[in-house]
Amino acid sequence: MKNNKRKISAEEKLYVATQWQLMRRKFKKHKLAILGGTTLVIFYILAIFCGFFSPQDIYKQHSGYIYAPPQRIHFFDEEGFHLRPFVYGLERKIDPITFRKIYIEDKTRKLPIYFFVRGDKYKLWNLYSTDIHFFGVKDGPIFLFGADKLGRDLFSRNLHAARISLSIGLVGVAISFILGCIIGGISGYFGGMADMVTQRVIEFLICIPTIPLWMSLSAALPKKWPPTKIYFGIVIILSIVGWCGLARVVRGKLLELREEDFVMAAKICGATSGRIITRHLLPAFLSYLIVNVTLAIPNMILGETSLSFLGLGMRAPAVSWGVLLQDAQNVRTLALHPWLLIPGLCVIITILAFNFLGDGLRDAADPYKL
Amino acid sequence: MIKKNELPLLEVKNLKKYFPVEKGFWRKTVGYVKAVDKVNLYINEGETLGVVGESGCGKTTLGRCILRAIEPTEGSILFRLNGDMIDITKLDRESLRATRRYTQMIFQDPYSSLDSRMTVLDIVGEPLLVNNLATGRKMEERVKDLVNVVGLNVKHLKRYPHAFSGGQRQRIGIARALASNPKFIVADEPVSALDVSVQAQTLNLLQDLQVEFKLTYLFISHDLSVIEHISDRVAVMYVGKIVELAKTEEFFLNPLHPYSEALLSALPKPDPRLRMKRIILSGEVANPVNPPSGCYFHPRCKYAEEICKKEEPEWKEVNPEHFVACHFAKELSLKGVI
Repeated sequence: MKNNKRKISAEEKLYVATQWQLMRRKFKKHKLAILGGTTLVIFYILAIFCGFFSPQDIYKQHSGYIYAPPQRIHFFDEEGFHLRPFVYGLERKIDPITFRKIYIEDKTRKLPIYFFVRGDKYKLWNLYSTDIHFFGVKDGPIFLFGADKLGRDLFSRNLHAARISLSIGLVGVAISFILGCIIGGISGYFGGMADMVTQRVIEFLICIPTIPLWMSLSAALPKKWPPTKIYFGIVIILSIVGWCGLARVVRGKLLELREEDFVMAAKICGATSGRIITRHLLPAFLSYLIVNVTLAIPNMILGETSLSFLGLGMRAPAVSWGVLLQDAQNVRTLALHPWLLIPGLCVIITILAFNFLGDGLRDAADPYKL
Repeated sequence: MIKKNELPLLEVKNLKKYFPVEKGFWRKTVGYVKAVDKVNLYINEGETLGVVGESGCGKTTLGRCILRAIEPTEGSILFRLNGDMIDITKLDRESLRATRRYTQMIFQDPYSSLDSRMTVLDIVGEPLLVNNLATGRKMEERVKDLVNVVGLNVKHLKRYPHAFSGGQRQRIGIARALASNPKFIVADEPVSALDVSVQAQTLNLLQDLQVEFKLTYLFISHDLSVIEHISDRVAVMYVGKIVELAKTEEFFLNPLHPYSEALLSALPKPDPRLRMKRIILSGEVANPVNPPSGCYFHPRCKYAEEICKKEEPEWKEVNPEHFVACHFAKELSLKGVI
């Protein structure tokens, strides 16, 4: 008897697994989605603790390091391998032919990288004042992603930009999600005229080219607004179109589920509409909503980046990936200072990660489909 | 068997269900699909009425209308409850919800009829819970009894439907239908999704349960041999109407409607020496949006005459307890199954 019990446990586990457990099983098989998910977790952690992870203050101008290229992290010098990584100090020289400033590694100045090092003062989440940074060098700045035209550290600026760019996706989707659920729910549940009207409105909104719409709306935001107000203004502008897709998903799923036999069975045995919605309908389409939300976030991030890039979204001194990319608007920069494009790379990685994650979630969303 | 002049358990009078056909931008109603059209029938307590017909003839709609799972367009459904006949179509939402526990349904598709996100315990216990019949421990005890009755393992209560085969899922569906102690159950093709050996088991289970719990069935099927096995009386549907209603034996021996004759001739015979001529119906099933004039069956009927095109046949009792809607019910001598 005891032996028997142990034997069936693996199979029994599958049989008594809840929807979410089954989804996790299926999701784990999707390697790309796991990769995307991990990337996003790392990105979001970096963005949440951006003050801690950035080695320098993002507004501090290092006049000696204008357009300094990214410094390489070394483990080897002429003496051999060192466990502690280090960077070489940069020495500025003038190119005798082009008169351009060029930076060369000064092999005599070795700057070892320390963890939890004291540096510029900052406030974590505007609450705790501290000067401890995750990493840094003891004397002088470190430029892992190079410096911009004012000698500001691009690595730190990228992390702070991630905070705005990544969170705008989440907040925007949250607003779209609420709007989409309510409007899509009404449309799908009541049907008839209400459904007709909402569907036509959605079709109309989807027809409007997004960039011109966003541009005209964000041009209407007062110039005097502080960055926080602008931030929420942009979020709302992005959500105006964003909810349409979600509302359609909610409506479609509701219409589909309403016809399922198990919903009729619940109705026949006397369940109230409230119980049918909360116990049968919601759990059935929640997983689909999560998938669609995941796939909607990249659009928000791209929207914010393009608006800021065009100078209509977030404005300096606030930093977002779009704002940082403004510096990379001409060929000269691209040719001479390609590291200014790193924010663009960050956007691409984020979008790809979200899409991979969404893909995996979509495959896992209905664990009962064969 | 209870005589007809005693009160039946359920009586359906002039039941209609028309689905509007909408067209164009403004969804104007341009016609109706007459899925159920002027249906009259009664079911006595403890008996099984088999409803048979081709796919799309409105069998399922009839079953769902009787339970008011979908709203009928017209007609009345009288259900005997504590000695009184109450009209289900006239109940308001709350009293309808209160009477729902006496009427239940077994579904055709054992996959979509169980919520895959609920355990067996929750599925079978739902009727108990929503009707305030039992909660918590008491509910679990009752569910265990039910699961036992339908022949499933009590240890599997915490499992989800995906752990079960089609036949087992159908048993879960049956247990759910029994949970609230109903008097009347609409079984909507409960075995047509199962393979033959499981079909037989399930049918026998349904028959045993009928005796044990004094159930009354409206048994919908397209399979005449299943109907023959389980029903006391048979109703034949064609394009939303019942064309013949008789006791099973009488129906199989002595059908009175040409459509019934055609159906019966298609029944496979186990004896290879018996070579009955099969009646192959010509033409298509009539379109319920635009049915033919007069008798709906006349374009396919080999006995049809002028009157069949013009007048709709009357629903009349030709022999005792043998109803038929055909102009020539008395004249024709049709072949049944020997």
